[in-house]
Amino acid sequence: MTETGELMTATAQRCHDPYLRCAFYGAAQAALGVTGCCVLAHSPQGCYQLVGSAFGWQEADYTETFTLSTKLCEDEIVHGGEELLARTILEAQELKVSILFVFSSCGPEIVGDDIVAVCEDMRPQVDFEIVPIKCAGFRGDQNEGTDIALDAMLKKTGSPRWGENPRLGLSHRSPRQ
Amino acid sequence: MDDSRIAFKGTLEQLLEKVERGEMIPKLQASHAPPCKFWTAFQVINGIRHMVPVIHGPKGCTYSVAGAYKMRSCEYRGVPLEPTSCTAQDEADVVYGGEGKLLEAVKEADQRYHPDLIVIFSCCCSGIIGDDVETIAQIAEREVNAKVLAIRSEGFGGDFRSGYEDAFRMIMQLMEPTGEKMEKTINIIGAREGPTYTEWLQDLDEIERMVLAIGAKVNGILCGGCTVEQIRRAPAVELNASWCYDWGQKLGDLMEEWFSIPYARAGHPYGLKATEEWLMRIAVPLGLEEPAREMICKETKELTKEIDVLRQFFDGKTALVEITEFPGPIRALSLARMTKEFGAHPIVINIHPYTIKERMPSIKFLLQKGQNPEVILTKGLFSLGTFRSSWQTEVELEMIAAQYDNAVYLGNPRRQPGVPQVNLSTMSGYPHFGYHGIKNLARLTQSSMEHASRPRSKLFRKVRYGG
Repeated sequence: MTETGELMTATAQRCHDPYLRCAFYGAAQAALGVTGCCVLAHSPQGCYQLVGSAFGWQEADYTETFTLSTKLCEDEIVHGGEELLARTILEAQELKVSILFVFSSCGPEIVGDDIVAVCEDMRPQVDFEIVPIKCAGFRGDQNEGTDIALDAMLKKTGSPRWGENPRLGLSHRSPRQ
Repeated sequence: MDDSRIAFKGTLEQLLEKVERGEMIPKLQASHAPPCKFWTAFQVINGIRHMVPVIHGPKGCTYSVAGAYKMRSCEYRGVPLEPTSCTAQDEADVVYGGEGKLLEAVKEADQRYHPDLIVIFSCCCSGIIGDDVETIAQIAEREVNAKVLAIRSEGFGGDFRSGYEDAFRMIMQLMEPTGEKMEKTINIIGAREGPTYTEWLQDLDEIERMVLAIGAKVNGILCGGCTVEQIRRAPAVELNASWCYDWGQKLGDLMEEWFSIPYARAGHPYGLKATEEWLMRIAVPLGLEEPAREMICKETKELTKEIDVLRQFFDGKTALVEITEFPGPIRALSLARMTKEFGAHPIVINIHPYTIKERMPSIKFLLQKGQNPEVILTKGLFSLGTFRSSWQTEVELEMIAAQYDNAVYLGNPRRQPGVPQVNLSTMSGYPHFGYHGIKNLARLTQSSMEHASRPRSKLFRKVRYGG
């Protein structure tokens, strides 16, 4: 029988050797299951590597599914990166996708970049749907990130404006278990 | 050729000037996003044996670097899996601070793994909220058996170059100059990735083989599987030599400044001339000129057949070199030099301006050494999306190749430029460095000649590039 003391030690662990990635990765796994989408990581370059891993894991087709990053540096962390995000959303028009998922990572969420507001502001200027997903790594592990992304997608599909875009024909492949 | 698809055509020096003037800036996109500062700092420190990292951040950063730099070796090469530990920061830690948790994590790592060295890495979260990793490292060191160091490696804190430069600067804290000298001994610097399976292992092996063959000894490969003890006694060597000028430069310069250890500055040993130059830059300061000359003469003689193959393939040709993303831009320039040595006119395709900016010190060094090949950048390089695999760059490459009646292509075998192509991105073709490298490159060019007329799959091209 396990002693209570042993259980407490196990739960009080401070040094982790994780076997799961963070919420940001899980959200990318879910979003990249949408054929013909673009995932825009509002993050430094390192987090964008996670989107790349998720892209490979989903076996997405890079001739029709795209990934972008705002490549945040110290300037954006100190002075805010909302303007940079807005410019990148405008540039994403070149890709001719039907839906853009905007992800925020730890850095911009801690400094308070409001990706939801930026996406709402930019929506009239572009011809694709935009789904903001607040999925900073500190929000949980990758399973929680998948939940966060699916939750954001479901809420968006329920919005009144959904379906106005004639090019939007979403088909979602569930992430592999 | 349709010039409307060309964004830049000129020499490397002209491209550098444009980049320095702030021109050729790519869009705010991720078609060229190398790892952040945290990744490259980890890449260097991970090359120290019996080192345990304690990453002060969420699990994503940790698992990702572990996957990229540790698990790959373990999964494919059967080496034991080493820990990559972290504090697994969550929302509460971000709100209330995580210094206490970090201190406990360091103690726990020491008790659990008994390492020689613990390195604390800060990530975006801990960096922004202001957790003082350096002070925690000092406090922790008094309470654990291992040496504890900390590095500020927030991903947003710099580009990939700043990560490895800061990591090499940090390991200098482990060096202890005693005044003793290890005769005819060198450090090979600028290595990275892991103590288990180091990146470009075959190239490092060839360098080590050549160094030993001229009668010199190697103290350690910093940081490609070196020990803390090797780093400690690194200032006792007579000379530092880099396996990659770009990555080794900072440590070489710092050790020269702090410990007066000369640094043999040389580019990659691709081809006969560059290999000879690389060896002589080590041999002369060590007083091993004679054995080095004997070795060069002997090894060159043994390669008569291979050299003939390379001359036959390159002589009078236009060599299109497109390996600027993998195996790397500095290698692309070294390879261009090698093709020139064997009689070709090299053109480097799509070396990204972002790379030129980040690797400016190395690019300037190579220019000083007379490496100034022609460079062509296409519009596809600046488009959104993955330019390495885009339909635009594939078509543009085909157009460039068609412009010359004697072009050969060196790069990725997935490309279909319609001219003889040498596969330079499959790991089985390594080493590329030194004399063994010449053997491999000759084998690859021989294969290219033999299979030049084989038709490529149009279906594969469509599946891969769309279009």
